[in-house]
Amino acid sequence: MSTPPTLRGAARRSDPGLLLAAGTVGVSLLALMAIVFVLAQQTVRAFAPVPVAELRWRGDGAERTLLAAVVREDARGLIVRGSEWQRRGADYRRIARADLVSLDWPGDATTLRLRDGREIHLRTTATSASDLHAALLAQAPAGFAAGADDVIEVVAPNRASVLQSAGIALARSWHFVAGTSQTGGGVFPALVGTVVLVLLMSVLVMPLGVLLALWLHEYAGTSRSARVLRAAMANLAGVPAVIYGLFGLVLFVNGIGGGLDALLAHGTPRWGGGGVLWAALTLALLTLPVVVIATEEGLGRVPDALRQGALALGATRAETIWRVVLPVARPALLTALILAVARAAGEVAPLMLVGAVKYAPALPLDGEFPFLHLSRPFMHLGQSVYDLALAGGDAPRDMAQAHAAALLLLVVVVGLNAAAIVVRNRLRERARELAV
Amino acid sequence: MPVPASPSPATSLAARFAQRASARARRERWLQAGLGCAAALLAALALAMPVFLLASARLTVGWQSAVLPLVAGSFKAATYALSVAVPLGLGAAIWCARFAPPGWRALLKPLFELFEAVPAVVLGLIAALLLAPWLVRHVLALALFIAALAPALAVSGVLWQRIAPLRWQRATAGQEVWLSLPLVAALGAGALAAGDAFADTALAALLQPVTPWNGLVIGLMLGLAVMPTVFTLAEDALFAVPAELALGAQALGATRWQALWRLLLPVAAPGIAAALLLGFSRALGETMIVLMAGGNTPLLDVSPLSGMRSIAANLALEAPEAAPGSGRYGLLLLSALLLFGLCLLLNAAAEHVRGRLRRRFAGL
Repeated sequence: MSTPPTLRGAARRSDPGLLLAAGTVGVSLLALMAIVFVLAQQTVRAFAPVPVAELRWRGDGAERTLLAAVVREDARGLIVRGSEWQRRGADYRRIARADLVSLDWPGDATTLRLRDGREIHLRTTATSASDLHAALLAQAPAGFAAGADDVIEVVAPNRASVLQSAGIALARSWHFVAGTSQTGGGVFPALVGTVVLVLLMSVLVMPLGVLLALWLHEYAGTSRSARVLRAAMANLAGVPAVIYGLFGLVLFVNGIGGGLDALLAHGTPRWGGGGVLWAALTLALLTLPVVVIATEEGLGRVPDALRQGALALGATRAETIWRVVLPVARPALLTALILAVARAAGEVAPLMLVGAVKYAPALPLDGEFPFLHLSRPFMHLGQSVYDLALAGGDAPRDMAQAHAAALLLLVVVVGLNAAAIVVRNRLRERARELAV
Repeated sequence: MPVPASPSPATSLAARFAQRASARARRERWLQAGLGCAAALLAALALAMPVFLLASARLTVGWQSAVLPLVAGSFKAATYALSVAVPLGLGAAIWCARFAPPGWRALLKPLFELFEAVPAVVLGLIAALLLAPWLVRHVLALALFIAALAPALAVSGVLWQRIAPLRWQRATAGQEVWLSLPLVAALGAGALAAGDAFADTALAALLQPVTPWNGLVIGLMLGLAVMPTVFTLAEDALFAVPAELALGAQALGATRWQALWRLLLPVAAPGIAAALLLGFSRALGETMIVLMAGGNTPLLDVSPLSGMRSIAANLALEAPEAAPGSGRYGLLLLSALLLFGLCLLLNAAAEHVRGRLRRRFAGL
C-alpha cells in the first residue's frame, strides 16, 4: 500500500529558512577560506621569483629599452621594476600597453640581489661569482659600486623550473623569518620582540591570575565580595584593548616611568617612554580576565570528593590546594596560559601606545649585561604587519611582505588557540573519568 | 651504661606532627593572605582604570566638535559591522544549534572559535590592501549579491523541498551547507557579471564610493570579525533550550522551522539579545580594522560610501604623540572614557539579560 497522500503532503511542508540558515554558514566558511587563500597567495607572490622581461616602448618621443621585472600585468599596461642602481624601490615604472613596441623574456636574464635589498637585472650567462661581479660592474652606470661579496642571491627567473622556483621561494621565506636586515626584509627582530613580550607577560599574569582564581573558587565561593569581583572581571574582559593601551600609557609610561626618570634624574628619559616591561604589564592586565576565567572553570572541574578526601586525611586547605587541586587542574592552567598567550600575541592596538615601534635599533634580549633590557622599545610582529602595509617606500614589495608577516602571525596565533582547544577537550574527558 | 633511648613510634609521630603544625598553619595563613592580596589588587585595578582616565580627562573649549565625529564614526562602523555580523552569526547559530548533525556542530564550534582568535591586524591588512581596492570597482555587484542572497536561498530551499525526490532530501538532510555552497558561489559570479555589465549606468555612478576605505569595507571586514562573537553566544543560548520544547511542538504538527521561529527563538531571545549587545560592544572597541581600512577622516556622515574615524582608531593614532598634560591628551582621555563607559554599559546590559535567560531556563 502506498503512503496516504495527506501524510506525504505534510512531510513536504517546506522550511524556507533551512537553506537560508545553512547558507549563512556557507557564506561564513567561504569568507574564511577566501581570507586564508588570499594570504597564502600574497605570501607566495612575496617570495616567488619575478620574471624579467626586455621591454621596448615609445615614450617622450623616442624608443626606449629596459630590462625589468614585471611586477603586475593587466589589460591597460604593465608595472615594471628596473634595476635599482641607486636605491631600493626607486625604479618602478608604469608602461601603457599602447606604448609597448615589443616584450620578450630573454632566457639569460639574471637577477642579482644585493646585501641592502636592491635587485639588479643583467643579461649574462656567467655562473661563477667573479664572472657575475665583472658582468655587474660592466653593465652598471657610472658611480655604482658593489663588492663581490655584496651579491647575496643570483636567480635566473626566466630559466628556473617550477621546482627551482619553489626552492628559491623557500630560501627567501626562511631568510624572511630568520633575517634581521631592515631593507632586505626579515622579521626576526619582530619575532624576538613578540616572544620576549609574551614570555614576560606570562610570567607576570600567571601567578596573579591563578591566585585570583583560587581565591574566587576555593575561598570566596559565592560570597558578596566574590560576586563583585566576578562582575568586575566580566566587565574588564569586555573593555576594548586599546583602552588598556591608554591605561598603560597613562599609568605605566607617563606615571610610573616618568616618576622613575624624575627620581633617578639621569637626564635622558629611559623609563618614561614605551618599553617592553610596560607593554608586558599592559598585556598582563589585558589577559588577566582570560586567565582567571579559564582557571576557575578548570578548578570547577576538579571533583569535590578529592578535596574532601584530602581534608578528611588531615591536610590543611593550603596543602589540599597545593598537593591535590592544582596537580589535577594542571591542564586547565595550561589552557589558561595558552589562551592568554594567543590573545596577547594577536593584539596590536595597545602595543602601539606602550612601546612597539617600527624600527628598534637593538633587541630587548641580547648578550650584554643585564641581558634582558626592560626599558627598551621593541618590534612586534603585528606592528610590523601594520607598518609594512601602510608606510612603505617600496609599496609592492612591502605589501607582499606584510601579507607574509600576517600569515606568520596567523599561524602562530591559530596554532596556539588550536592547542588550547585540544588541551581543554582532553581535560574535559579526564574530568569525566575522575567523576565516574 | 647509657642506652640511647629509642622513642616509641607513636610519640615520634605525634612529636613530628606537633613540630610541623606551626609551619603548616603558617603556610595556611600565607596562602590566605596572598589570595586576599591578589583579590584586593585586582579590585583596585578594576577601579583604577576609570578613575585614572577620569582624573586625566579634560574638557577643553570646543570639545564637542572634536569628539562628536569620532563617536559618530565609532557608531557608524559598529552599526555596519553588526548589519553583516548579525544575519551571518544568527543564521549560522540557528543552523548549528538546531539543524546540524553532531559532527557538523563539533566542527563548526571550534572553527568559529579559531576564527574569533584571528588577529584583527590580519583582517585589517586584507581589508585595506585587497578588499578596499577591489570593492571600489564592484560596489554594484556587492549590492546585487546582498539583495539577491536571502531571497535566492529561501526560494531555492522551498523549491528543493517541493521538487526534489524525498530520497535525495533524506540523503542531504543535515548537509545543507554543501547544497548552499554552489548556490552562493553561483550567485557571487552572477552578481559580479551583472555588476560589470551595468558598470556604466547611472545606478553604478550613484554607488561609486568617495574613497576606497569606506563604510562598506569596514562593515564587511569588521562584521566578519564580530560574527564569531554573535555566533558563539547565540548558539549557546539556542542549544541550551530544552529539547522537549521543540519535540513537543513538532509532535503537535509544527515543522522544525515553525518550532524554531515560534518557540525556540522567543525562549532564547535574551541570549540572542546578549549576543547582539556584546557584538556591538566588541565592534565599538575594535581598533586595527577601522584604523587600517576606515580612512580615518572624522566625518559626521552616515553614508556607507564614505570613510570614518572611530574613537579607538583615533586613540591609536594620536595617543603615542600627545604630550602628557596637554589639551589634546585630555581630550583623548575623555574620548577613551566615553568608549569605556559605552562598552561597560553594553556589557552590563548583556550580563543582565543573560541572567534573565538563566532564570528562564532554570524555570523550564
